[in-house]
Amino acid sequence: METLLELKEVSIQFGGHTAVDRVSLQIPVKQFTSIAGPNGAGKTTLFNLISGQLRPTSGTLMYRGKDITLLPPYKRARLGMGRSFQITNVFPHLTVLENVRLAVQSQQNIGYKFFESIILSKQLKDKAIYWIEQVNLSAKTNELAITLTHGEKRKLEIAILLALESELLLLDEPTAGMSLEEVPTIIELLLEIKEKKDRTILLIEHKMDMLMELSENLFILNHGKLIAQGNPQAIMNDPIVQAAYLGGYDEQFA
Amino acid sequence: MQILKNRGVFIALLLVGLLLPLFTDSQPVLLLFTRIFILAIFAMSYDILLGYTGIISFGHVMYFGIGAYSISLLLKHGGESWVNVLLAALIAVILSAIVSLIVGILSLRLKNTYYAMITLAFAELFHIVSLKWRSLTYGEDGFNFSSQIPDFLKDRFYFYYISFIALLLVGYFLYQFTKSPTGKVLVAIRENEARAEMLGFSTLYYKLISSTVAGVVASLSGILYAISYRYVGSASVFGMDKTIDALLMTIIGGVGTLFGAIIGAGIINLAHQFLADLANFHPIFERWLIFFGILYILIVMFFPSGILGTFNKYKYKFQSRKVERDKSHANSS
Ligand SMILES: Nc1ncnc2c1ncn2[C@@H]1O[C@H](COP(=O)(O)OP(=O)(O)O)[C@@H](O)[C@H]1O
Ligand SMILES: [Mg+2]
Repeated sequence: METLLELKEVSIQFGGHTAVDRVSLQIPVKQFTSIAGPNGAGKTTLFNLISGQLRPTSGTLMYRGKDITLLPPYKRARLGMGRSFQITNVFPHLTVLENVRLAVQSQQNIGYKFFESIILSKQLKDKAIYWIEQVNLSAKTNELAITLTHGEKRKLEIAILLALESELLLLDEPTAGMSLEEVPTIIELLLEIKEKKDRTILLIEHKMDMLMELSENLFILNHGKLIAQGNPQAIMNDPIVQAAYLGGYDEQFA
Repeated sequence: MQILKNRGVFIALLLVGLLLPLFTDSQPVLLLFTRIFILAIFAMSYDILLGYTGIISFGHVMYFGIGAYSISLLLKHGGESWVNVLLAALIAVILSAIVSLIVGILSLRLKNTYYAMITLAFAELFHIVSLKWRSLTYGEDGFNFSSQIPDFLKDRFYFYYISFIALLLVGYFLYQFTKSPTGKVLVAIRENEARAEMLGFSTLYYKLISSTVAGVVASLSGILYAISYRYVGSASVFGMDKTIDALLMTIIGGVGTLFGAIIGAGIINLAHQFLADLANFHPIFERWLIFFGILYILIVMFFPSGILGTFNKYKYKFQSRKVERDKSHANSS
């Protein structure tokens, strides 16, 4: 299987605390891979390392066989890596449309244009509206992001990610804090992307049913260490995982 | 849809600007408005940085001074000629572009707050050079270059319209710039720089563009300013208070509204003039800074988003209420 992203012995320390500890993993191209693990296991930190917000203390990251360890975030985005954030991270005083439009603009790679072009403007807007429809947020198209509810902000976050049309989609708990009625829309959206089989998806998720339904591969992280990887069904039956993770999981999240 | 959100304000300003000279031939009044136009250009350039990119500069005056000294020195030492005027404009543009790039590269890589510090340091550097290089600049006294200015530019009536047209052109270009894809990214940087970077925008390059556009436009306003006084002196074009003026004009008009800067420039300069006139009646009015302070506090208290910003907010509220009313009408019928 072809590998899109590879981490080799990646670690990061905050002060004396090792948040990610010698993690080596390979993300196969055009598959749905998930990362699970208890709170504070280092999952979001791992995403920050992948998307370039953090530099590892040691280790190497390869994307399509190219060393990206020292690349700044915008260059990784240009290479085809897009991410959404666990704690919503949008442009608060811009409308939903303007938020998504920026992502479309980046995706179209139109560069430094100093004049407004009506044609281009409409093209960007139409695409943005399409993605806003995809996440069921059309009613809020012209609202400022700051006025959205938590669940709506999550949808906006996902619309921004989808609009980037990245090769690699990094999703950090996309349904966290959403109301129960809103979750199926997102799962369906992810299933749809998965079934098209033209993207590589890396999902951080807690919800067990979601993991089982979506994932083709599963990684388990605990205390910054990768403790299991492979087929989701097999992993969930693995006694080590159950002891280290699922025990904690039940206590913390059930 | 958003094209000329402030159309009403814009048309009103346009009419006042165009027609004013038909109602008065008082030179001081024309000159006052000429300077309002010029400082409005300066304030708009500041708004590109502060309002659209979210970067504070404490030394924006240096570009203003670069423009002012370019034209003054070239005319003073090169003599009256249009070639020198154009050459000065070219030099001012190139020099301010280079300086703004250097300043940006030195500071914007790190943190936007460093930009404030570095611009302040550079502005002081220019200030000191203009003071000390006496053989060229006549130091503190500055120099008059009235007899080297082409007659056309010395005519208060023509120069009024030249400044007005410059304001319209710069306003138009900056407006286009803020609506352009590049301008949209600047706003994204203001809103959430890390996120803009994660979307794939090289925020450093965009901030450098913002810094350069603001610097070049400010230098153009400096050129016009020096011509309007026919004099240049280091305190008047490199002094910190001009940066503060730009900051005040932008905040009073409305940060991030572009054309608010024109209103801000009008208010500040009219208030300045008004207080200067009142000083003939009572010396307390010579302490105009006190009154500026009070005016500023009142405006920030009652119009926290500036005058045009507040106006837009109410208009927006009114419109969305209207949309909702229309919707409920449609539903009930
Ligand atoms: N920027 C940071 N500075 C210091 N500690 C951090 C930072 N980011 C994360 N951590 C710590 O790293 C650990 C892993 O956090 P995180 O990656 O957010 O966990 P998860 O996403 O798996 O819940 C936590 O103990 C957290 O406190
Ligand atoms: Mg997390």
